[in-house]
Amino acid sequence: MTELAQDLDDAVLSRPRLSILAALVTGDALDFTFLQKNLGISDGNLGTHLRKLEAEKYIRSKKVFVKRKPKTWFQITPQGRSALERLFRQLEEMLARS
Amino acid sequence: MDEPNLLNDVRFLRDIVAKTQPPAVNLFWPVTLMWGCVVSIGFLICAALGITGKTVAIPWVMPVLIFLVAWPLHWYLRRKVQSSIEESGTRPRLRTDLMWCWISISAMGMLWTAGLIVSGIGSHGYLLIFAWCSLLCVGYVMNGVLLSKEWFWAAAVMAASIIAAFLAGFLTQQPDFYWFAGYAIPVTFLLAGVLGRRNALHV
Repeated sequence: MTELAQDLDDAVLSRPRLSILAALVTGDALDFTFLQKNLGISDGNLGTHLRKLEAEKYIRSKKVFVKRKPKTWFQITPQGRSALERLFRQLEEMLARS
Repeated sequence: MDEPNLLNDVRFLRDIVAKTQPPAVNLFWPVTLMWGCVVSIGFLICAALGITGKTVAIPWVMPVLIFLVAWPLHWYLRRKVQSSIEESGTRPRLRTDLMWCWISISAMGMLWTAGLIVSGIGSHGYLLIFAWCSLLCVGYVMNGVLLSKEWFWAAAVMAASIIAAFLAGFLTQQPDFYWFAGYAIPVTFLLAGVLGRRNALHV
């Protein structure tokens, strides 16, 4: 069990990052405000977690201007999707063994 | 993530997905409704031209309406709906599944049309209507599976009209009845648009 726990991907494992990926898993792009409202994470925290996921290439962002206001869209990447699927497989395995 | 918390985390994630996943409704119902209106108007114009004896213009009515009216309106309404969805903070992904489904259906329809015309359908022109209505019925079922449930009603109406037209033509030995299957095309689009609006407003 401990070996399995060590293999878990740290980038995905934290609750906020996991919830960001779960929200994006449908494939639609979501904006920063939508994520903040629905995940209940503060501004600064959300930004940090999004940057971490982006650095791992699990999500990609696109900044656009709508009526002169900046808006950032976030979308899951194929790597992010596989990371999430891998984590779920590992968790299922852990549950099966416990 | 400690083991005792695993189940809590699964529940938490389920809630997140439930809160953020897109609703299974057709938010683009204005586009569907517009197609229903344009095709209905096309049918009415064709009927009026037929009654007044100006049959030469009939083959031009639908292409003109589709390319000069429906497609520009489609583009405009699609952009309008898309921007209103984006204002709520989500940008729907490109539905490649639906896109390929309708590209395949259109390609099949065109191949059937070409094949039937080349092989010389003569007085059996209604075969084209049967071919297109059957393909549209399949497309509606796929829309029901992939997009929203109201399309199943459209598929049911289309299937019923094909069967009714066939029975009417077969039992009375009047091939003109076979053309009636085509009248279901605008009706089904209008139905899907109206039901889509109702479902989308109830989300």
